[in-house]
Amino acid sequence: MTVAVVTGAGRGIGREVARRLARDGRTAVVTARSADELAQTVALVEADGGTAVAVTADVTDPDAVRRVAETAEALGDVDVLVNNAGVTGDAAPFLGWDIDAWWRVVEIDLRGPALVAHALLPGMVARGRGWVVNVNSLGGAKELPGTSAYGVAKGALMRLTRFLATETAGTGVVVLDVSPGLVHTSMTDGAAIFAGVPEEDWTSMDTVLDGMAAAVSGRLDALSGRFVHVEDDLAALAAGADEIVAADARTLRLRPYGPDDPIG
Amino acid sequence: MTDPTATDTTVRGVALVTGAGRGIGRDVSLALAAEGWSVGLLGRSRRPLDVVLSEVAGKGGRAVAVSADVTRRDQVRAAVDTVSRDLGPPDLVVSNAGLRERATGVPWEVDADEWWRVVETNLRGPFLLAHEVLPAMVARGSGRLLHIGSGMGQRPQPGGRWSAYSVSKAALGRLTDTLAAGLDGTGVTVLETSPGLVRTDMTETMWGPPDEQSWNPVEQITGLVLRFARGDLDALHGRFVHAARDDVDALLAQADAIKAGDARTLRLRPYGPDDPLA
Repeated sequence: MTVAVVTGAGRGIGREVARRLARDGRTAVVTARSADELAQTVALVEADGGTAVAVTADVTDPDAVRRVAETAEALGDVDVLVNNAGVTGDAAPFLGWDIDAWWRVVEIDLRGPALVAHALLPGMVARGRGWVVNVNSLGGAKELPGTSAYGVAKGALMRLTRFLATETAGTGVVVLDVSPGLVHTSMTDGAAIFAGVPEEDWTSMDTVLDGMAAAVSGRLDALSGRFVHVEDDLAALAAGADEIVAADARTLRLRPYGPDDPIG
Repeated sequence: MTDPTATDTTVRGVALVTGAGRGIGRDVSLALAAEGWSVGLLGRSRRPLDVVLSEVAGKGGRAVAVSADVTRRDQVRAAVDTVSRDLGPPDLVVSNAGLRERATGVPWEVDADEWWRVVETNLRGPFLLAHEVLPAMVARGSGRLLHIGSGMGQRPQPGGRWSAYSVSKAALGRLTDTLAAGLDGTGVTVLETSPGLVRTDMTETMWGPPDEQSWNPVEQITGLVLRFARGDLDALHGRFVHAARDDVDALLAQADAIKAGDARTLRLRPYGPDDPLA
């Protein structure tokens, strides 16, 4: 049985993704800062007939991430990493942010995925098989008022995804940004910035899980390094992969002002 | 430290330049001083700052040198305080200090702590400085913030190397347009630029020895900084301007369209007009 590592799996999307990956036949290594929440995730996976192992870890702590990687590798071949742990922080104008709180968002949303990928990619590359899913957001590529730290970190994460895909090209490892859209979780339901969003703009958890399963199925491998949204027509995206790659689309680029722009 | 003959400093105001001891930061500082700006020279190492300070003073300019690590909140605050006390509150801040990983390599082979140290210097540094100087600028209703970015933050790199540098510069680009949105209407302007490939200690060991023609003259970036300092580029608030590749006047002529199209910012590139994320 191969192993999937899911960060931020103590609740929300991470917990449900871990359950889905375990149902689909992988051992789920689940990480979060809260041991209690992780224990509940493990219990849910086991109730489904699956296998899960909890490692309490803060993804911004290199030593903790090393423990996660060692535990996972000892259980089998790790072929999936879902970098899901992330925070938006409380929405505030830039100057209203506490400096340490702002930087903490960047650490969790950017350094965390970088560290876990850094720890697990060597094994994936050596075995010639693996999928790294960075849970990302359109907020990384446009303004969401009040969420400067989240927007900066998620934008940077898009660039990291693109880099890792370039580096792993030809190795059998695929790296994708996957946006789950806006899903009802404890993170989003408590966030003032999402309070006014009409119900039809939210994404169902089933759609998220189907999108995540597609991302690690091989069907989207030609889009390695790029951004997909679970509400996309994923089959159409995969069919159009050659054109998307040729245009270097679905990645963070400087938006040109027109066809004459010398840059972009 | 000060030169009483530099009488036009009150006209030009106070600039603060990070990474001012070497490379582009040094040239930018000298250019600003020559135009009559009082310049706060920030850098980690004292000795190169003192050399620049002597050069400025030798030409009748006005400057102060402050050792500070831009990733350290207390040091950034102390440095801004020192510059404000000795020269006046900064009207112009050039976040130029930058770091790259020591050697290129695939991202998972670069030391993870070193990788993050690059992000701290190139993102946390400008973030801390912006957070420190903006309240006073907003209160005065004027001020300019310039981020020295890089095309490496915007385009795929051959072989994907220099990931820490490139990811951090992308983050800086996002910080620029995010800041700009919050500063609309305050009288404070923020701009992102790239100097192109200017020969410095950092770049010489980064890309190997390209032919001489491929280096961009440093006068392109110093010229752009001076124009921004004068307020000529305020219409491009929040956008990216390339000092070597752009015709700045052509960009200014398009400024309304650029703003309307949210262009010259880092955005997800759509695959075509039918892309639902376009």
